[in-house]
Formats: sequence, C-alpha cells, structure tokens
Amino acid sequence: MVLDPKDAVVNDDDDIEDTADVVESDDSDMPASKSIDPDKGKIALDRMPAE
Amino acid sequence: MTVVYRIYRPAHVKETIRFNGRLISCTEASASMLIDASTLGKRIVSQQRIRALSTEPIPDPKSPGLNLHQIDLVMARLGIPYANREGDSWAEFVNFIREGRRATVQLDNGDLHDPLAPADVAHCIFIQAFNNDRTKLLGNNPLASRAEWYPVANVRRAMDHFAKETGMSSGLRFGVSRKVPKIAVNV
Repeated sequence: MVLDPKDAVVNDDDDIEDTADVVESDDSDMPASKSIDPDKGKIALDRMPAE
Repeated sequence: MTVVYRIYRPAHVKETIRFNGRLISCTEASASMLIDASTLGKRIVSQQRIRALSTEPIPDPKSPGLNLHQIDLVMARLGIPYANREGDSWAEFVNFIREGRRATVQLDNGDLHDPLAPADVAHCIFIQAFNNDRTKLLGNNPLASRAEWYPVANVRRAMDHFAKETGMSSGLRFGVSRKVPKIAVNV
C-alpha cells in the first residue's frame, strides 16, 4: 500500500545531515555487488510477522 | 524566493503480501521505497511487481522472504543501480549513507525497538539519511505507517544480530542505491 507522501514527513529537514553536494549522478561510481552467500539471508516463515 | 536543496522523501510503503498467515514482503516494500527514492519519484514499482520479477514469484513455504541477492537480480532486470553489499562493515555502511545513498537493510526488528512496530521478527527496512549529529537514522519500517528516526545504536545492534543469526561471521547484510541527487525546493 502506498501512502500519501505527507505521511512520511516526521521531522524538519533541517535535522537531516547535509551529505556531499550531490546535485547529479552518472552512476559511474556505483560499488560492485557482492553475492558471498546467495542462498543466505532468507527469512524463515516462523520469523515473519503474523497478520 | 529562496531555493534550498533537500533530499527527496519517497512515499512510505507498508508490506502487504501475505502467505500462510504471515506478512512476507518487507524486503520487496523496502526495495520499492529505494527505487522511488533513488529515481526521485520517476519510477514507482510495487512490492507485488518486485516479487513477480524475482527468482521466487511463488514463495518458498519454509523461507518465503526474499534476500538481498534476489533483490539485486530484480534491480538489474529493472535497470535500477543497486549494489548488494552483504559482508561490508558498519563503517562502510555509514560511509555509503553519508555519500547520499539509500539502503535496504536486513535486521532483527526486536533490537530496533521501533515504537511504531515492535514485533520481534527478522526483517528488512529502508534507510534514508543520518540526522545532523549522527545519533539517529531516518528510516521506513514496512510494518509501520510512516518514516521514523531510529537511534543509530539500535540499528547497528539489530543489523549485527540479523547477520549473525543468518550465518555471517563478520559484516552486515545491506544493499545500497546510487548517490541520490538532492531536489531544489522554493521556500
């Protein structure tokens, strides 16, 4: 379910740390993906939230 | 009129895919928010679409949640820059967020102590940014109804717990987006 964006606002933007001045991105500096154990990290049924 | 540059905040996405009485789409919901955020709202991909594009459109009954390797493959199919960085350290995670990247992180939700969603379950949430003194992280928990500031210590402990619980001897389980440009806002 997608909620209204206003619901995502929980604090003033002034509280957000100022990151590097990224005003555009060409994606050339993406780190490589690592798949050190592609079968791990799956969550078992009994560790998932009940409805 | 003054122009300021702010981070783009995606719409919050709650997990809604059900399987055998459980909610199973925390990873898909977090990935959906990452796509929205990293494309500045230009691409909206539902959690159902992400599941359908995955290597597991029909959930495995024993472990129905997707892992970050599977999300990596879905992002590649969608053409969304994403890097599965499982095994990286906390310091590397911090650097990625401070570069302006967004992240999907797997963690133990009980250790997160989320006042909006306290369930003690294994989980995945979406992370947006640090606060000014880097004591909190702005994140979206797919079990909650909106974004929240989480104490950094809680996030770190929760990520470490999940990584160890899933057999990782060192490092954490998370994936990152491209460096996301800020948006110009007239104030």
